[in-house]
Amino acid sequence: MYINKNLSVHVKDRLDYCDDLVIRTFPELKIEVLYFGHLVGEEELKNNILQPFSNTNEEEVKIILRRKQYQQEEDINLMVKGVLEGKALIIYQNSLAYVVDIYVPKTRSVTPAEIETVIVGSKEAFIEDIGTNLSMIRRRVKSDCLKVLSYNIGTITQTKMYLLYIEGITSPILVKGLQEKIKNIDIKGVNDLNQVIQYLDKKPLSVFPQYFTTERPDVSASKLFEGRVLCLMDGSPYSLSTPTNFFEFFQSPDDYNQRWLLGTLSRLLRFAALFITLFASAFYVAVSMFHYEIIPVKLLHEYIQSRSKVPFNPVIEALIIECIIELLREAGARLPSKIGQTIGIVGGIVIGTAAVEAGFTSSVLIIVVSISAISSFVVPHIIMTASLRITRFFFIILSSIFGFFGIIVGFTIIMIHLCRLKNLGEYYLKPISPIFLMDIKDTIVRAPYQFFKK
Amino acid sequence: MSRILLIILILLVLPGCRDQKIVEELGFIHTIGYELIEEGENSGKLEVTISLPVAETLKQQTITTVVETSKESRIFLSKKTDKNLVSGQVRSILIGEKLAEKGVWDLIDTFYRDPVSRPTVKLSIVKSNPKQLLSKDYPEYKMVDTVIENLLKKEARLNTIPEMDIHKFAKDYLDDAIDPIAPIILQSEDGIMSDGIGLFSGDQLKTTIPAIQARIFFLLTGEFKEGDLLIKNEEEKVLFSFLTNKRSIDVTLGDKEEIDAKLSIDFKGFLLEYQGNKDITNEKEIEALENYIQENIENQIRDILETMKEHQIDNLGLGKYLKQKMDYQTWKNLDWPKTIDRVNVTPSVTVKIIDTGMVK
Repeated sequence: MYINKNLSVHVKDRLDYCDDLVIRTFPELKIEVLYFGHLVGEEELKNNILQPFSNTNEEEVKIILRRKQYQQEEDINLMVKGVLEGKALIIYQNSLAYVVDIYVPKTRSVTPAEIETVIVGSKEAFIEDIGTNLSMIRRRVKSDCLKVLSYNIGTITQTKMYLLYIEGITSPILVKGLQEKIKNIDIKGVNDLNQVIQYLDKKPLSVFPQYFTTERPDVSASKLFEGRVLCLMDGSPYSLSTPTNFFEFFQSPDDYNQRWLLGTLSRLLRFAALFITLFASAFYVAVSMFHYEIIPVKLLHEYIQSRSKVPFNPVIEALIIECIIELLREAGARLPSKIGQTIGIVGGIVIGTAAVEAGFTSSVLIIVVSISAISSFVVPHIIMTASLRITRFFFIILSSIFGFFGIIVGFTIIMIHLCRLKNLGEYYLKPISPIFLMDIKDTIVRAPYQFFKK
Repeated sequence: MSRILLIILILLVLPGCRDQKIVEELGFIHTIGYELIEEGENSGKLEVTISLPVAETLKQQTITTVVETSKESRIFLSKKTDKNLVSGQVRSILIGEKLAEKGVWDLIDTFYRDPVSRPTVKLSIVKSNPKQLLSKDYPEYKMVDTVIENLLKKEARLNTIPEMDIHKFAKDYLDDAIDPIAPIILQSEDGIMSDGIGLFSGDQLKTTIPAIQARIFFLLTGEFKEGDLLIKNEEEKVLFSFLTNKRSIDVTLGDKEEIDAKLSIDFKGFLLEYQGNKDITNEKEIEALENYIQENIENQIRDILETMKEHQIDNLGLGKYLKQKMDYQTWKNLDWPKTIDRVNVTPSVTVKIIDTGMVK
């Protein structure tokens, strides 16, 4: 929409009832400046608007406006958009419009990562401002091959999104694939990157996360070197990388920053934790409902004694305790950390001990459920932890119907599902299925770096 | 979508065919004892005794019933308890001496075929009545059945009795070149004790070997690889601990009916204890001591073989070596082990004392 006359009225009409709009006029110069006060920096405003137009006369204005930072704009839509993005709109003689970028976001400063903490390694985490986030990546990848493509998503929110990749490492097909997916997202507004990934999911009914998000800039940068595409979104302290692999959720920067032996062992420990958290409770249910033969005789006596007081069927018993653990976890997550500790004491010690003494549950089950709950938090990525916790209930129910056979059937179903999952054409379970022996050195184990280059 | 519905349908229907065994409702038979009744109105019937832990009190419950065949015993036994009797946790089978003399294969077979019961169920012969053994109140033991199990395990480790489980028994029974053996336990005034090896012919108990000789028996089978050996007569007592034991059996077929078997055993070890009048700091005297040990062991080996020949049984498995030397038809015609008399066994034992230890 191109309008040459009465520009000021038209623009003000579009921004009607936006009381936070600041309008400054310089009558002698026939200049009007429009901007949102809370989006702009004071220093920038002073340098670009106040100072140049205060001590000047009508002749000099034209020369000033020819300076580079003032871009002439003819489309009224772009003018309004510019104002919304934190630019100042200068309307000269009610017919010419210039925009100048004086956007300074008001955000918190960079803080240490809170969820994905590490022992050895960088401490910083992404924040809500996309510019700061991009600067953290750029600082780590000082290369002209790092390309950044910009998008806006959300028809109303017009949230800015950057797509990053390294030319020469990332396959162009991946970039194109993700570009298309992002363009096809049709939503009004979006708040966080973790919402966007759910729009990108190919199989929305799956319990497993299909895109990898992280709050750590060092992890994000390393994803770029691995040939993945990275996404940043304004307002979200996360980055998204794809194609995603199941094993990425079991890696932590600690594996790489510490020596390879420790890295390998802790990775193996995490895979052990994966199996414990999935199967421990189901195993208990299967043994106490079907396979009494495998209980060691020394444990058997104490076990049947504690079981004989319990009024519930083993599966009901297990589900009750699992639900209590979930309640504790959910309550702990919503509370500030100081009160959170109280929850731990109340839940762990009071409920645990009292439940056994009251004959509400058997002591063996308390041990089993606690170990499986602890194991679930060994997995470094909270999204995967949540998926595993849900899957655990699936296994408990299957094992209560079919015993060990049920667990095996369930495991097979999950495996088939994981093998079928694909992410931008890459298999989710690669390098195990399809198998790439050379890639195992950095998935299941973490070999010394000297082995990485063939 | 229809696939998901199908899965849900299957899941809904299949709980009907479940085979639930919830632990606290089960009675875990730990030990099961069989004895033949010879007197009274029930003469010829089986007396079956089982022991199981009671969940609430953690004490042992013992139940006995008299049945005609072992298979029906489960029905009669379960009438006497509130628990669902299961055999998946059976650890040992005790068989009375009288029943063992008549034959035990029927009983073993029941367990051997049962997919639930483990193949490592221990088998032993009880000299007294298994019912008395299990139901007597031993104030020092909380549960007698676990005591029996541990006793058998420990004694087997010390090589005074064989570690005989039903799998091994069945294997030896079904093999025509070897006869099975089983440990013997008895009820003494102090409690329960092991008492040597019972030698079987087929599935029938024929004779026994005392515990002292049992170790020599295991030297011959090669199971006794290292440990202590006590050799004594009126004058001398030697406690010999050996570290290596090489055993070989050589069978040569003679021209006619003669079969020669050479049993050679090679020891190396050290003296733990010596009481006698030899000066063991002198090398010649040590040599004499070595010869004395050799002779003593050879004599004991001859005794064992005499016992086997007397009852026409082969519990050592000499037949296995014989079988390798001849073709199948000859082996069949031999009718082993009835022809064990024809085997001429020459034991040759070499003992080397490498250290006289602290007695120096």
